[in-house]
Amino acid sequence: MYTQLFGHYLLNNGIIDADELHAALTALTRIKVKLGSAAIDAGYMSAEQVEEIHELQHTMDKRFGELAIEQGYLTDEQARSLLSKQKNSNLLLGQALIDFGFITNKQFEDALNDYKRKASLINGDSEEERMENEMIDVLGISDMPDKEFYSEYILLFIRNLIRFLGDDFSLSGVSRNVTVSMNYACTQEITGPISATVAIGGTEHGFIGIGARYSGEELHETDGYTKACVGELLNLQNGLFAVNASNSRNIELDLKPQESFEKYMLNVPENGICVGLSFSFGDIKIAVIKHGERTAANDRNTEIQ
Amino acid sequence: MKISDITVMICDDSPLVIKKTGDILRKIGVAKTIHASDGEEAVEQYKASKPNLVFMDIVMPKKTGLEALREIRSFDPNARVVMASTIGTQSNLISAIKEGAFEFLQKPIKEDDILKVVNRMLKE
Repeated sequence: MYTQLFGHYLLNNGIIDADELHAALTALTRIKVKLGSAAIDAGYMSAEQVEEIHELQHTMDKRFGELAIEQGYLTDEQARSLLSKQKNSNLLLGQALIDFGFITNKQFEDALNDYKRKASLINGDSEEERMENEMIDVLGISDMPDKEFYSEYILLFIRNLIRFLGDDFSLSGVSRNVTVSMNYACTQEITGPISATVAIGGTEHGFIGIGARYSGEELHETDGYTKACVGELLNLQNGLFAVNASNSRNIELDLKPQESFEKYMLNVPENGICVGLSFSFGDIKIAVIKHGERTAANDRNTEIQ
Repeated sequence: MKISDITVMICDDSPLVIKKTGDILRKIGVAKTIHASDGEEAVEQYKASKPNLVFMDIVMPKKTGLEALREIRSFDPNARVVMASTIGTQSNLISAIKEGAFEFLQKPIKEDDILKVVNRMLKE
């Protein structure tokens, strides 16, 4: 997660360009050890236990370490030790960029110090809240009335992309008040107290890449099966968002069936967002438009009228 | 009844889910699977084939899984229909059980869940 944000910071500040970030992130996936593999390597967990935790992550928006502790496979101390080994991913990204000759050691040191300084200014009562606030900053949406919704939704999507597609991507752009076009897209409506339209799609390579990674199969065409695979990822994201809303805010959301489109256009208003992501297999976009939120106070006003 | 004797129907608008669930069912020994891709087709297929067990998605076009469950149960009160949804919340579980679902599972459905449901059905 932090690697993507730090990468976006480097890109946004003109320290590196998109191709350089892409090359470094691709190299990084080859050397970065996932927490599950590190747990096996340390002898803390068996391969079956790691697989079980990965399965559980399909139905619960929880981190690997958190679930492994809940299941009794890791102690708090073991999880902390594994996480501390992972936390140097910004250093690994920096090392890859230096090795490629894209930046100097001095540029990296200055950038990392500036990034850390800015990140330390972001507050939050919990780690989750701090990350959502960091996301508001990265997306540049602090002026939006629904910034909390967008931050929570996009943060969950990024976590799911990392879990189910891999972390070899960077944020390539954030846009609002724009007509978004995607060669291939899947959409889904969230209904209930919060209503929203969500679309995921992109170029042909991007779209096929999403489907192939999510299904774990080799896909080569944008046929009905590939569309179904992309649609299921979107359904999973929205399902987990609805579960979180039910657990944390007692809000019950529903979903409409996913739809798929070719040459898809969507008008994203000022109070909407489109996030561009560049994966090693292609470019993708996620567009989210919140239509409204029904609160108890709103309902009372409607009744009075 | 043996596991190889039963017919299982998978109702989902996603070919990915139909394929993955079908693969698991065949792996655990179910010989015959049929499928439907929307709620309306699910009701028609059930009436035509009377499968022993049904896995039904809740969010589907034409008719939702809960509407299809209601119609199937009114046609056959003994129908064993397992409802599945990515929204694994208490309220969805309660709605499914109220409508007479045999079980409620959060998607994506895992092999262990399918095995447990099939074994429970065979014991009953």
